[in-house]
Amino acid sequence: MNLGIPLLEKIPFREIGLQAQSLFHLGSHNEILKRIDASLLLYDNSLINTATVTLFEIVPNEDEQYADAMARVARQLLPMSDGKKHVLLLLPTADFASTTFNMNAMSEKLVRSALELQSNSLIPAYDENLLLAVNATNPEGVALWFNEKEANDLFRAFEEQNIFLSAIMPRALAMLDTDDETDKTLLINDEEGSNISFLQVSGVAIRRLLTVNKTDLEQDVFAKQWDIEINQLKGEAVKTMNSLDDWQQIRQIVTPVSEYCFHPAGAIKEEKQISLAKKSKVGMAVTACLVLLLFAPFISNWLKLKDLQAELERVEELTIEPRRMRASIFDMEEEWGALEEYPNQQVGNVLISLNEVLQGALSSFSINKGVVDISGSTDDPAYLVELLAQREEFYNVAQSTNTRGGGAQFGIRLNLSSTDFETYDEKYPVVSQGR
Amino acid sequence: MVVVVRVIPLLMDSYDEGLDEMDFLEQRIERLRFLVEEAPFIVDEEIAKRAEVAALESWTFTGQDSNLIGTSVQRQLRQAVEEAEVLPRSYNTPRIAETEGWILVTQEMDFVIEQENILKFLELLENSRPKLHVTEFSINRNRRQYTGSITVTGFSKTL
Repeated sequence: MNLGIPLLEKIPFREIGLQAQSLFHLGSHNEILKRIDASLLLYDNSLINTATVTLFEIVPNEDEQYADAMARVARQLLPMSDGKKHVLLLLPTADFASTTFNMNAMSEKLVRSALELQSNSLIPAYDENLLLAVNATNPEGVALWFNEKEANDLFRAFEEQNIFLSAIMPRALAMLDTDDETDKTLLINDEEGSNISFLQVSGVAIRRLLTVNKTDLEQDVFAKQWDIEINQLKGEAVKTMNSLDDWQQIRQIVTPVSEYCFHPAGAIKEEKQISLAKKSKVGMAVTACLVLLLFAPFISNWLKLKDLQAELERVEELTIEPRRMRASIFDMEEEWGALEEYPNQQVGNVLISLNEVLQGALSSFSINKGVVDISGSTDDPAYLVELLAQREEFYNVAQSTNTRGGGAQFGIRLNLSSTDFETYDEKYPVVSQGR
Repeated sequence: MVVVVRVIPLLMDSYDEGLDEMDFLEQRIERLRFLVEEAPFIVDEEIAKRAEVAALESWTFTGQDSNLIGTSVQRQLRQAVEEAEVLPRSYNTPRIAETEGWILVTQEMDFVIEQENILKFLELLENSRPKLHVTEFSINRNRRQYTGSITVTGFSKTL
Protein backbone atom coordinates (compact mmCIF):
# COMPACT_ATOMS: atom_id res chain seq x y z
CA MET A 1 0.00 0.00 0.00
CA ASN A 2 1.48 3.34 -1.00
CA LEU A 3 0.14 6.26 1.02
CA GLY A 4 2.55 8.80 -0.48
CA ILE A 5 0.68 9.78 -3.61
CA PRO A 6 -2.82 10.10 -2.13
CA LEU A 7 -1.38 12.15 0.72
CA LEU A 8 0.34 14.50 -1.70
CA GLU A 9 -2.83 14.83 -3.70
CA LYS A 10 -4.69 15.88 -0.58
CA ILE A 11 -2.37 18.80 0.07
CA PRO A 12 -3.97 21.92 -1.43
CA PHE A 13 -0.82 23.23 -3.12
CA ARG A 14 -2.77 25.65 -5.32
CA GLU A 15 -4.63 27.19 -2.36
CA ILE A 16 -1.39 27.41 -0.36
CA GLY A 17 0.25 29.12 -3.34
CA LEU A 18 -2.57 31.60 -3.70
CA GLN A 19 -2.50 32.38 0.02
CA ALA A 20 1.26 32.88 -0.10
CA GLN A 21 0.86 35.09 -3.18
CA SER A 22 -1.74 37.20 -1.43
CA LEU A 23 0.62 37.61 1.50
CA PHE A 24 3.31 39.20 -0.62
CA HIS A 25 1.14 40.76 -3.32
CA LEU A 26 2.01 44.37 -3.96
CA GLY A 27 -0.29 45.14 -6.93
CA SER A 28 -3.44 45.97 -5.00
CA HIS A 29 -1.62 48.01 -2.34
CA ASN A 30 -3.80 46.53 0.38
CA GLU A 31 -1.37 47.35 3.14
CA ILE A 32 -1.54 51.06 2.49
CA LEU A 33 -5.33 51.03 2.13
CA LYS A 34 -5.71 49.23 5.44
CA ARG A 35 -4.04 52.13 7.21
CA ILE A 36 -6.45 54.77 5.89
CA ASP A 37 -8.10 56.47 8.85
CA ALA A 38 -9.63 59.55 7.22
CA SER A 39 -11.32 60.45 3.96
CA LEU A 40 -11.57 63.93 2.46
CA LEU A 41 -13.92 64.74 -0.43
CA LEU A 42 -13.59 67.67 -2.81
CA TYR A 43 -16.81 69.27 -4.01
CA ASP A 44 -17.15 72.62 -5.52
CA ASN A 45 -13.84 73.92 -4.17
CA SER A 46 -14.75 72.76 -0.67
CA LEU A 47 -12.97 69.97 1.13
CA ILE A 48 -15.23 67.84 3.29
CA ASN A 49 -14.17 65.51 6.07
CA THR A 50 -16.65 62.72 5.28
CA ALA A 51 -16.63 61.38 8.84
CA THR A 52 -17.12 64.65 10.71
CA VAL A 53 -18.97 66.40 7.85
CA THR A 54 -16.93 69.53 8.56
CA LEU A 55 -15.77 71.40 5.49
CA PHE A 56 -13.62 74.30 4.45
CA GLU A 57 -13.45 76.12 1.20
CA ILE A 58 -10.15 76.00 -0.63
CA VAL A 59 -8.94 79.49 -1.40
CA PRO A 60 -5.33 79.50 -2.62
CA ASN A 61 -3.21 82.35 -1.33
CA GLU A 62 -1.17 84.43 -3.66
CA ASP A 63 1.44 82.24 -5.43
CA GLU A 64 0.05 79.20 -3.64
CA GLN A 65 -0.47 76.06 -5.69
CA TYR A 66 -3.94 74.55 -5.56
CA ALA A 67 -2.49 71.32 -4.17
CA ASP A 68 -0.81 73.24 -1.35
CA ALA A 69 -4.01 75.12 -0.61
CA MET A 70 -5.94 71.86 -0.50
CA ALA A 71 -3.37 70.34 1.85
CA ARG A 72 -3.55 73.38 4.12
CA VAL A 73 -7.35 73.04 4.32
CA ALA A 74 -6.95 69.31 4.91
CA ARG A 75 -4.76 70.13 7.89
CA GLN A 76 -7.58 72.28 9.29
CA LEU A 77 -10.05 69.42 8.90
CA LEU A 78 -7.87 66.80 10.60
CA PRO A 79 -6.98 67.33 14.28
CA MET A 80 -3.24 67.32 14.96
CA SER A 81 -3.83 65.49 18.22
CA ASP A 82 -4.78 62.30 16.37
CA GLY A 83 -1.24 61.92 15.03
CA LYS A 84 -0.31 61.51 11.40
CA LYS A 85 -3.45 60.71 9.44
CA HIS A 86 -3.58 58.43 6.44
CA VAL A 87 -5.99 59.97 4.03
CA LEU A 88 -8.14 58.82 1.12
CA LEU A 89 -8.70 61.82 -1.13
CA LEU A 90 -11.96 61.73 -3.13
CA LEU A 91 -11.74 63.99 -6.17
CA PRO A 92 -14.45 64.88 -8.68
CA THR A 93 -15.09 62.02 -11.09
CA ALA A 94 -14.55 64.37 -13.99
CA ASP A 95 -10.92 64.88 -12.90
CA PHE A 96 -10.15 61.34 -14.07
CA ALA A 97 -9.72 60.30 -17.66
CA SER A 98 -11.41 57.08 -18.68
CA THR A 99 -11.11 54.55 -21.47
CA THR A 100 -13.08 51.44 -22.17
CA PHE A 101 -11.43 48.13 -22.84
CA ASN A 102 -12.46 44.76 -24.20
CA MET A 103 -9.77 42.14 -23.95
CA ASN A 104 -11.22 38.67 -24.03
CA ALA A 105 -9.30 35.70 -22.66
CA MET A 106 -6.63 37.78 -21.01
CA SER A 107 -5.54 37.59 -17.43
CA GLU A 108 -5.91 40.48 -15.03
CA LYS A 109 -2.20 41.13 -15.13
CA LEU A 110 -2.07 41.10 -18.91
CA VAL A 111 -5.04 43.51 -19.21
CA ARG A 112 -3.27 45.92 -16.89
CA SER A 113 0.02 45.61 -18.82
CA ALA A 114 -1.73 46.05 -22.18
CA LEU A 115 -3.55 49.17 -21.00
CA GLU A 116 -0.36 50.70 -19.60
CA LEU A 117 1.44 50.06 -22.89
CA GLN A 118 -1.38 51.69 -24.86
CA SER A 119 -1.80 54.71 -22.59
CA ASN A 120 -0.29 57.16 -25.08
CA SER A 121 -2.51 56.03 -27.93
CA LEU A 122 -5.61 55.64 -25.76
CA ILE A 123 -5.39 59.15 -24.35
CA PRO A 124 -3.48 61.22 -26.91
CA ALA A 125 -4.54 64.49 -25.24
CA TYR A 126 -2.24 63.87 -22.29
CA ASP A 127 1.47 64.38 -22.70
CA GLU A 128 2.36 63.64 -19.14
CA ASN A 129 2.63 60.28 -17.45
CA LEU A 130 -0.61 58.78 -16.26
CA LEU A 131 -1.43 56.42 -13.47
CA LEU A 132 -3.82 53.56 -14.23
CA ALA A 133 -6.55 52.11 -12.05
CA VAL A 134 -8.70 49.31 -13.35
CA ASN A 135 -10.76 46.39 -12.25
CA ALA A 136 -9.40 43.88 -14.75
CA THR A 137 -11.16 40.82 -13.38
CA ASN A 138 -13.69 41.24 -16.18
CA PRO A 139 -12.59 41.13 -19.83
CA GLU A 140 -14.34 44.43 -20.53
CA GLY A 141 -14.95 47.58 -18.56
CA VAL A 142 -13.60 51.02 -17.86
CA ALA A 143 -10.04 51.94 -17.01
CA LEU A 144 -9.37 55.17 -15.12
CA TRP A 145 -6.33 57.38 -15.52
CA PHE A 146 -4.90 60.13 -13.39
CA ASN A 147 -2.01 62.50 -13.89
CA GLU A 148 1.01 61.08 -12.12
CA LYS A 149 2.59 64.49 -11.49
CA GLU A 150 -0.62 65.82 -9.98
CA ALA A 151 -0.82 62.82 -7.67
CA ASN A 152 2.77 63.31 -6.57
CA ASP A 153 2.27 67.05 -6.07
CA LEU A 154 -0.72 66.35 -3.86
CA PHE A 155 1.31 63.78 -1.89
CA ARG A 156 4.13 66.26 -1.37
CA ALA A 157 1.75 69.03 -0.33
CA PHE A 158 -0.05 66.76 2.15
CA GLU A 159 3.30 65.45 3.44
CA GLU A 160 4.33 69.03 4.18
CA GLN A 161 1.24 69.31 6.34
CA ASN A 162 2.22 66.02 8.07
CA ILE A 163 -0.64 64.16 6.40
CA PHE A 164 -0.05 60.94 4.57
CA LEU A 165 -1.93 60.85 1.29
CA SER A 166 -2.53 57.15 0.89
CA ALA A 167 -4.76 57.13 -2.16
CA ILE A 168 -6.80 59.21 -4.57
CA MET A 169 -10.15 57.90 -5.78
CA PRO A 170 -13.10 59.22 -7.86
CA ARG A 171 -15.60 60.49 -5.32
CA ALA A 172 -18.54 58.79 -7.08
CA LEU A 173 -17.17 55.45 -5.89
CA ALA A 174 -17.76 56.57 -2.30
CA MET A 175 -21.35 55.55 -2.98
CA LEU A 176 -20.46 51.88 -3.41
CA ASP A 177 -21.20 49.43 -0.68
CA THR A 178 -17.95 47.47 -0.73
CA ASP A 179 -19.23 45.00 1.86
CA ASP A 180 -22.05 43.91 -0.48
CA GLU A 181 -20.74 40.85 -2.25
CA THR A 182 -23.59 40.67 -4.79
CA ASP A 183 -22.84 42.15 -8.20
CA LYS A 184 -25.64 44.69 -7.85
CA THR A 185 -25.62 47.27 -10.66
CA LEU A 186 -25.73 50.88 -9.52
CA LEU A 187 -26.07 54.08 -11.54
CA ILE A 188 -24.34 57.13 -10.06
CA ASN A 189 -24.89 60.62 -11.36
CA ASP A 190 -22.10 62.91 -10.16
CA GLU A 191 -22.79 66.54 -11.06
CA GLU A 192 -20.77 69.58 -10.16
CA GLY A 193 -20.77 72.95 -11.85
CA SER A 194 -20.64 72.37 -15.58
CA ASN A 195 -19.57 68.72 -15.41
CA ILE A 196 -21.76 65.68 -15.34
CA SER A 197 -20.33 62.18 -14.83
CA PHE A 198 -22.54 59.16 -15.13
CA LEU A 199 -21.30 55.78 -13.93
CA GLN A 200 -22.69 52.28 -14.26
CA VAL A 201 -21.08 50.08 -11.62
CA SER A 202 -21.56 46.34 -11.11
CA GLY A 203 -20.24 45.25 -7.78
CA VAL A 204 -16.91 47.06 -7.65
CA ALA A 205 -16.36 47.21 -11.42
CA ILE A 206 -17.15 50.31 -13.47
CA ARG A 207 -19.00 49.13 -16.60
CA ARG A 208 -19.52 52.53 -18.19
CA LEU A 209 -18.40 56.06 -17.39
CA LEU A 210 -19.80 58.95 -19.35
CA THR A 211 -18.67 62.52 -18.75
CA VAL A 212 -20.04 65.60 -20.42
CA ASN A 213 -19.86 69.35 -20.12
CA LYS A 214 -23.24 70.93 -19.55
CA THR A 215 -22.57 73.56 -22.17
CA ASP A 216 -22.24 70.80 -24.76
CA LEU A 217 -25.71 69.61 -23.86
CA GLU A 218 -27.12 72.95 -24.93
CA GLN A 219 -26.74 71.65 -28.44
CA ASP A 220 -29.69 69.43 -29.32
CA VAL A 221 -27.59 66.85 -31.14
CA PHE A 222 -25.36 66.31 -28.13
CA ALA A 223 -28.27 66.41 -25.71
CA LYS A 224 -30.15 63.78 -27.73
CA GLN A 225 -27.11 61.56 -27.94
CA TRP A 226 -26.48 61.92 -24.17
CA ASP A 227 -30.08 60.94 -23.44
CA ILE A 228 -29.79 57.89 -25.68
CA GLU A 229 -26.56 56.85 -24.00
CA ILE A 230 -27.92 57.41 -20.49
CA ASN A 231 -31.15 55.59 -21.19
CA GLN A 232 -29.24 52.56 -22.37
CA LEU A 233 -27.64 52.22 -18.94
CA LYS A 234 -29.70 50.05 -16.62
CA GLY A 235 -29.25 49.73 -12.91
CA GLU A 236 -31.04 48.46 -9.83
CA ALA A 237 -30.59 51.82 -8.09
CA VAL A 238 -29.75 55.37 -9.12
CA LYS A 239 -27.83 57.78 -6.91
CA THR A 240 -27.70 61.40 -7.87
CA MET A 241 -25.05 63.47 -6.16
CA ASN A 242 -25.43 67.04 -7.30
CA SER A 243 -25.17 69.12 -4.14
CA LEU A 244 -22.97 69.60 -1.10
CA ASP A 245 -25.77 68.18 1.04
CA ASP A 246 -25.69 64.94 -0.92
CA TRP A 247 -21.99 64.42 -0.14
CA GLN A 248 -22.40 65.44 3.48
CA GLN A 249 -24.76 62.51 3.98
CA ILE A 250 -21.88 60.02 3.86
CA ARG A 251 -20.98 60.60 7.56
CA GLN A 252 -18.27 58.00 7.72
CA ILE A 253 -14.77 57.30 6.55
CA VAL A 254 -15.16 56.13 2.98
CA THR A 255 -13.95 52.61 2.31
CA PRO A 256 -11.51 52.71 -0.58
CA VAL A 257 -12.28 50.64 -3.68
CA SER A 258 -8.79 49.25 -4.15
CA GLU A 259 -9.19 48.66 -7.91
CA TYR A 260 -9.81 52.37 -8.57
CA CYS A 261 -7.40 53.90 -6.10
CA PHE A 262 -4.42 55.90 -7.38
CA HIS A 263 -1.34 55.85 -5.25
CA PRO A 264 1.29 58.57 -5.37
CA ALA A 265 4.88 57.32 -5.65
CA GLY A 266 5.56 58.31 -2.02
CA ALA A 267 2.65 56.22 -0.80
CA ILE A 268 3.78 53.20 -2.81
CA LYS A 269 7.28 53.60 -1.42
CA GLU A 270 5.93 53.51 2.11
CA GLU A 271 3.84 50.49 1.30
CA LYS A 272 6.89 48.70 0.00
CA GLN A 273 8.64 49.44 3.24
CA ILE A 274 5.66 48.10 5.20
CA SER A 275 5.54 45.04 2.99
CA LEU A 276 9.27 44.48 3.34
CA ALA A 277 8.99 44.80 7.09
CA LYS A 278 6.13 42.31 7.02
CA LYS A 279 8.11 39.95 4.79
CA SER A 280 11.05 40.36 7.06
CA LYS A 281 8.88 39.45 10.06
CA VAL A 282 7.48 36.43 8.24
CA GLY A 283 10.97 35.48 7.13
CA MET A 284 12.28 35.79 10.65
CA ALA A 285 9.38 33.73 11.98
CA VAL A 286 9.98 31.04 9.34
CA THR A 287 13.72 31.10 10.07
CA ALA A 288 13.03 30.88 13.80
CA CYS A 289 10.72 27.89 13.19
CA LEU A 290 13.32 26.18 11.00
CA VAL A 291 16.06 26.82 13.54
CA LEU A 292 13.78 25.52 16.28
CA LEU A 293 13.00 22.41 14.23
CA LEU A 294 16.66 21.91 13.43
CA PHE A 295 17.71 22.28 17.01
CA ALA A 296 14.75 20.45 18.57
CA PRO A 297 16.70 17.17 18.82
CA PHE A 298 19.63 19.04 20.33
CA ILE A 299 17.40 20.80 22.84
CA SER A 300 15.77 17.48 23.69
CA ASN A 301 19.22 15.92 24.18
CA TRP A 302 20.37 18.86 26.24
CA LEU A 303 17.34 18.57 28.53
CA LYS A 304 17.84 14.82 28.87
CA LEU A 305 21.52 15.35 29.61
CA LYS A 306 20.60 17.84 32.32
CA ASP A 307 18.21 15.28 33.84
CA LEU A 308 20.85 12.56 33.68
CA GLN A 309 23.48 14.83 35.22
CA ALA A 310 21.09 15.69 38.06
CA GLU A 311 20.33 12.00 38.58
CA LEU A 312 24.05 11.21 38.49
CA GLU A 313 24.71 13.82 41.19
CA ARG A 314 21.93 12.31 43.30
CA VAL A 315 23.20 8.72 43.09
CA GLU A 316 26.79 9.87 43.54
CA GLU A 317 25.68 11.50 46.80
CA LEU A 318 24.02 8.25 47.85
CA THR A 319 27.08 6.16 47.06
CA ILE A 320 29.79 8.24 48.73
CA GLU A 321 30.18 5.76 51.59
CA PRO A 322 29.94 2.55 49.53
CA ARG A 323 32.45 3.98 47.05
CA ARG A 324 34.81 4.93 49.87
CA MET A 325 34.56 1.38 51.18
CA ARG A 326 35.10 -0.11 47.73
CA ALA A 327 38.19 2.05 47.33
CA SER A 328 39.40 0.98 50.76
CA ILE A 329 38.92 -2.71 49.84
CA PHE A 330 40.72 -2.13 46.57
CA ASP A 331 43.63 -0.40 48.33
CA MET A 332 43.95 -3.26 50.82
CA GLU A 333 43.91 -5.79 48.01
CA GLU A 334 46.56 -3.80 46.18
CA GLU A 335 48.69 -3.46 49.28
CA TRP A 336 48.46 -7.06 50.51
CA GLY A 337 47.90 -8.92 47.26
CA ALA A 338 51.50 -10.04 46.81
CA LEU A 339 51.40 -11.83 50.15
CA GLU A 340 47.80 -13.00 50.16
CA GLU A 341 47.91 -14.41 46.66
CA TYR A 342 51.27 -16.15 47.00
CA PRO A 343 50.51 -19.72 45.88
CA ASN A 344 50.27 -22.13 48.79
CA GLN A 345 51.43 -25.57 47.63
CA GLN A 346 50.22 -27.31 50.82
CA VAL A 347 53.06 -29.84 50.48
CA GLY A 348 51.81 -31.95 53.38
CA ASN A 349 48.41 -32.46 51.74
CA VAL A 350 50.09 -33.31 48.44
CA LEU A 351 52.14 -36.03 50.14
CA ILE A 352 49.02 -37.45 51.80
CA SER A 353 47.17 -37.50 48.46
CA LEU A 354 50.09 -39.24 46.72
CA ASN A 355 50.39 -41.79 49.50
CA GLU A 356 46.70 -42.69 49.12
CA VAL A 357 47.45 -43.71 45.54
CA LEU A 358 51.01 -45.02 45.80
CA GLN A 359 50.54 -47.05 49.01
CA GLY A 360 54.17 -46.69 50.17
CA ALA A 361 55.71 -47.15 46.73
CA LEU A 362 57.25 -43.64 46.80
CA SER A 363 61.02 -43.43 47.08
CA SER A 364 61.58 -39.77 46.15
CA PHE A 365 59.45 -36.65 46.01
CA SER A 366 60.16 -33.10 44.93
CA ILE A 367 57.94 -30.09 44.45
CA ASN A 368 59.03 -26.84 42.89
CA LYS A 369 56.54 -24.07 42.17
CA GLY A 370 53.63 -26.41 41.56
CA VAL A 371 55.53 -29.04 39.59
CA VAL A 372 55.82 -32.41 41.35
CA ASP A 373 58.31 -35.14 40.46
CA ILE A 374 57.98 -38.53 42.10
CA SER A 375 59.76 -41.85 41.68
CA GLY A 376 59.38 -45.29 43.19
CA SER A 377 58.60 -48.85 42.30
CA THR A 378 55.34 -50.52 41.35
CA ASP A 379 54.10 -53.39 39.17
CA ASP A 380 52.11 -51.19 36.85
CA PRO A 381 53.37 -47.58 36.52
CA ALA A 382 50.83 -46.85 33.75
CA TYR A 383 47.98 -47.75 36.03
CA LEU A 384 49.52 -45.44 38.63
CA VAL A 385 49.51 -42.60 36.14
CA GLU A 386 45.87 -43.32 35.39
CA LEU A 387 44.95 -43.23 39.06
CA LEU A 388 46.79 -39.95 39.65
CA ALA A 389 45.26 -38.33 36.56
CA GLN A 390 41.77 -39.05 37.93
CA ARG A 391 42.42 -36.91 41.00
CA GLU A 392 41.23 -33.29 40.85
CA GLU A 393 44.25 -31.89 42.65
CA PHE A 394 46.61 -32.98 39.84
CA TYR A 395 46.86 -32.36 36.12
CA ASN A 396 49.40 -33.01 33.33
CA VAL A 397 50.21 -36.35 34.91
CA ALA A 398 52.83 -38.21 32.83
CA GLN A 399 55.72 -40.64 33.15
CA SER A 400 58.97 -38.72 33.27
CA THR A 401 61.55 -41.49 33.05
CA ASN A 402 61.85 -44.79 31.31
CA THR A 403 60.64 -47.77 33.31
CA ARG A 404 63.26 -50.27 34.35
CA GLY A 405 63.28 -53.72 35.87
CA GLY A 406 60.26 -54.99 33.96
CA GLY A 407 58.26 -51.93 34.83
CA ALA A 408 58.97 -51.92 38.59
CA GLN A 409 60.79 -48.55 38.65
CA PHE A 410 58.88 -45.44 37.61
CA GLY A 411 59.25 -41.70 37.40
CA ILE A 412 56.17 -39.45 37.15
CA ARG A 413 55.76 -35.69 36.77
CA LEU A 414 52.53 -33.84 37.50
CA ASN A 415 51.24 -30.36 38.19
CA LEU A 416 49.21 -29.06 41.12
CA SER A 417 45.79 -27.73 40.16
CA SER A 418 45.59 -25.31 43.07
CA THR A 419 48.73 -23.28 42.32
CA ASP A 420 49.66 -20.99 39.49
CA PHE A 421 53.09 -19.48 39.99
CA GLU A 422 53.22 -18.31 36.39
CA THR A 423 50.26 -15.95 36.82
CA TYR A 424 51.53 -14.79 40.18
CA ASP A 425 54.99 -13.98 38.77
CA GLU A 426 53.38 -12.02 35.96
CA LYS A 427 51.17 -10.05 38.34
CA TYR A 428 53.89 -9.41 40.90
CA PRO A 429 57.14 -9.40 38.95
CA VAL A 430 60.38 -9.31 40.87
CA VAL A 431 61.82 -5.83 40.37
CA SER A 432 65.24 -6.49 41.89
CA GLN A 433 67.12 -9.47 43.12
CA GLY A 434 70.01 -9.45 45.53
CA ARG A 435 72.24 -12.01 47.05
CA MET B 1 26.71 24.15 -0.07
CA VAL B 2 28.80 25.03 2.97
CA VAL B 3 25.83 24.06 5.15
CA VAL B 4 25.57 20.65 3.47
CA VAL B 5 29.29 19.91 3.38
CA ARG B 6 30.43 21.38 6.67
CA VAL B 7 27.62 22.39 9.01
CA ILE B 8 25.34 19.35 8.70
CA PRO B 9 28.15 16.80 9.34
CA LEU B 10 29.27 18.92 12.30
CA LEU B 11 25.73 19.00 13.68
CA MET B 12 25.38 15.26 13.17
CA ASP B 13 28.69 14.64 14.94
CA SER B 14 27.63 16.88 17.78
CA TYR B 15 24.29 15.05 18.00
CA ASP B 16 26.06 11.67 18.07
CA GLU B 17 28.41 12.94 20.76
CA GLY B 18 25.37 13.97 22.80
CA LEU B 19 23.93 10.47 22.44
CA ASP B 20 27.25 8.91 23.45
CA GLU B 21 27.44 11.14 26.50
CA MET B 22 23.88 10.19 27.47
CA ASP B 23 24.76 6.53 27.02
CA PHE B 24 27.82 6.96 29.20
CA LEU B 25 25.84 8.76 31.92
CA GLU B 26 23.08 6.14 31.85
CA GLN B 27 25.60 3.35 32.28
CA ARG B 28 27.33 5.18 35.12
CA ILE B 29 24.00 5.87 36.86
CA GLU B 30 23.08 2.20 36.46
CA ARG B 31 26.36 1.13 38.05
CA LEU B 32 25.91 3.56 40.94
CA ARG B 33 22.32 2.41 41.51
CA PHE B 34 23.61 -1.15 41.69
CA LEU B 35 26.19 0.08 44.21
CA VAL B 36 23.38 1.57 46.35
CA GLU B 37 21.71 -1.84 46.39
CA GLU B 38 25.01 -3.54 47.17
CA ALA B 39 25.95 -1.10 49.97
CA PRO B 40 25.09 -3.45 52.90
CA PHE B 41 27.18 -6.24 51.36
CA ILE B 42 30.08 -3.84 50.75
CA VAL B 43 30.08 -2.94 54.44
CA ASP B 44 30.38 -6.65 55.30
CA GLU B 45 33.05 -7.10 52.66
CA GLU B 46 35.12 -4.25 54.03
CA ILE B 47 34.88 -5.61 57.59
CA ALA B 48 35.98 -9.05 56.35
CA LYS B 49 38.83 -7.55 54.36
CA ARG B 50 40.08 -5.59 57.37
CA ALA B 51 40.07 -8.80 59.45
CA GLU B 52 41.91 -10.56 56.65
CA VAL B 53 44.54 -7.82 56.53
CA ALA B 54 44.93 -7.95 60.29
CA ALA B 55 45.64 -11.68 59.97
CA LEU B 56 48.04 -11.10 57.11
CA GLU B 57 50.00 -8.62 59.18
CA SER B 58 51.07 -11.50 61.41
CA TRP B 59 52.46 -13.30 58.33
CA THR B 60 55.08 -10.64 57.65
CA PHE B 61 58.58 -10.24 58.93
CA THR B 62 59.28 -6.77 60.27
CA GLY B 63 62.15 -4.47 59.48
CA GLN B 64 63.58 -2.72 56.47
CA ASP B 65 67.07 -4.22 56.52
CA SER B 66 67.16 -7.23 54.23
CA ASN B 67 70.03 -8.89 56.15
CA LEU B 68 68.11 -8.68 59.39
CA ILE B 69 65.01 -10.02 57.69
CA GLY B 70 67.14 -12.87 56.31
CA THR B 71 68.30 -13.66 59.83
CA SER B 72 64.70 -13.64 61.06
CA VAL B 73 63.65 -16.02 58.28
CA GLN B 74 66.50 -18.38 59.11
CA ARG B 75 65.61 -18.20 62.78
CA GLN B 76 62.00 -19.02 62.03
CA LEU B 77 63.11 -22.01 59.93
CA ARG B 78 65.47 -23.24 62.63
CA GLN B 79 62.63 -23.09 65.14
CA ALA B 80 60.49 -25.41 62.98
CA VAL B 81 63.50 -27.65 62.36
CA GLU B 82 64.08 -28.02 66.07
CA GLU B 83 60.44 -28.63 66.89
CA ALA B 84 60.11 -31.27 64.17
CA GLU B 85 63.37 -32.91 65.16
CA VAL B 86 64.81 -32.40 61.72
CA LEU B 87 68.54 -32.78 61.39
CA PRO B 88 69.85 -29.84 59.38
CA ARG B 89 72.88 -30.49 57.23
CA SER B 90 73.43 -27.05 55.74
CA TYR B 91 71.81 -23.61 55.43
CA ASN B 92 72.52 -21.57 52.34
CA THR B 93 72.86 -17.81 52.42
CA PRO B 94 69.44 -16.16 52.19
CA ARG B 95 68.49 -14.71 48.80
CA ILE B 96 66.77 -11.33 48.69
CA ALA B 97 64.31 -10.21 46.02
CA GLU B 98 61.94 -7.24 45.81
CA THR B 99 58.53 -6.88 44.27
CA GLU B 100 56.17 -3.89 44.45
CA GLY B 101 56.03 -2.99 48.17
CA TRP B 102 57.59 -6.19 49.41
CA ILE B 103 60.97 -7.76 50.23
CA LEU B 104 61.08 -11.53 49.66
CA VAL B 105 63.71 -13.52 51.55
CA THR B 106 64.37 -17.06 50.33
CA GLN B 107 66.25 -19.56 52.51
CA GLU B 108 67.44 -23.01 51.40
CA MET B 109 68.36 -25.86 53.70
CA ASP B 110 69.47 -29.48 53.30
CA PHE B 111 68.34 -31.89 55.96
CA VAL B 112 67.85 -35.47 57.16
CA ILE B 113 64.45 -36.39 58.57
CA GLU B 114 62.63 -39.37 59.93
CA GLN B 115 59.55 -40.38 57.93
CA GLU B 116 57.18 -39.75 60.84
CA ASN B 117 58.43 -36.16 61.17
CA ILE B 118 57.91 -35.07 57.59
CA LEU B 119 54.27 -34.00 57.89
CA LYS B 120 54.89 -32.44 61.31
CA PHE B 121 57.72 -30.35 59.83
CA LEU B 122 55.55 -29.21 56.94
CA GLU B 123 52.65 -28.41 59.28
CA LEU B 124 54.93 -26.34 61.53
CA LEU B 125 56.04 -24.33 58.53
CA GLU B 126 52.44 -23.92 57.33
CA ASN B 127 51.39 -22.53 60.71
CA SER B 128 54.52 -20.51 61.38
CA ARG B 129 54.07 -16.82 62.13
CA PRO B 130 55.59 -14.89 60.46
CA LYS B 131 54.77 -17.31 57.73
CA LEU B 132 57.31 -19.30 55.77
CA HIS B 133 56.04 -20.28 52.33
CA VAL B 134 57.41 -23.57 51.05
CA THR B 135 58.44 -22.99 47.45
CA GLU B 136 60.59 -26.07 46.92
CA PHE B 137 60.67 -29.34 48.83
CA SER B 138 62.32 -32.62 47.98
CA ILE B 139 63.01 -35.85 49.86
CA ASN B 140 64.72 -39.11 48.95
CA ARG B 141 64.32 -42.31 50.88
CA ASN B 142 67.63 -43.63 52.16
CA ARG B 143 67.05 -46.82 54.14
CA ARG B 144 65.05 -45.73 57.22
CA GLN B 145 65.74 -42.02 56.82
CA TYR B 146 64.98 -39.38 54.28
CA THR B 147 67.42 -36.81 53.04
CA GLY B 148 66.04 -33.70 51.53
CA SER B 149 66.16 -30.00 50.84
CA ILE B 150 63.68 -27.24 51.37
CA THR B 151 63.35 -23.66 50.15
CA VAL B 152 61.13 -21.28 52.09
CA THR B 153 60.21 -17.69 51.41
CA GLY B 154 59.30 -15.00 53.92
CA PHE B 155 57.69 -11.61 53.18
CA SER B 156 58.44 -8.20 54.66
CA LYS B 157 56.69 -4.96 53.76
CA THR B 158 58.93 -2.21 52.47
CA LEU B 159 56.75 0.66 53.75
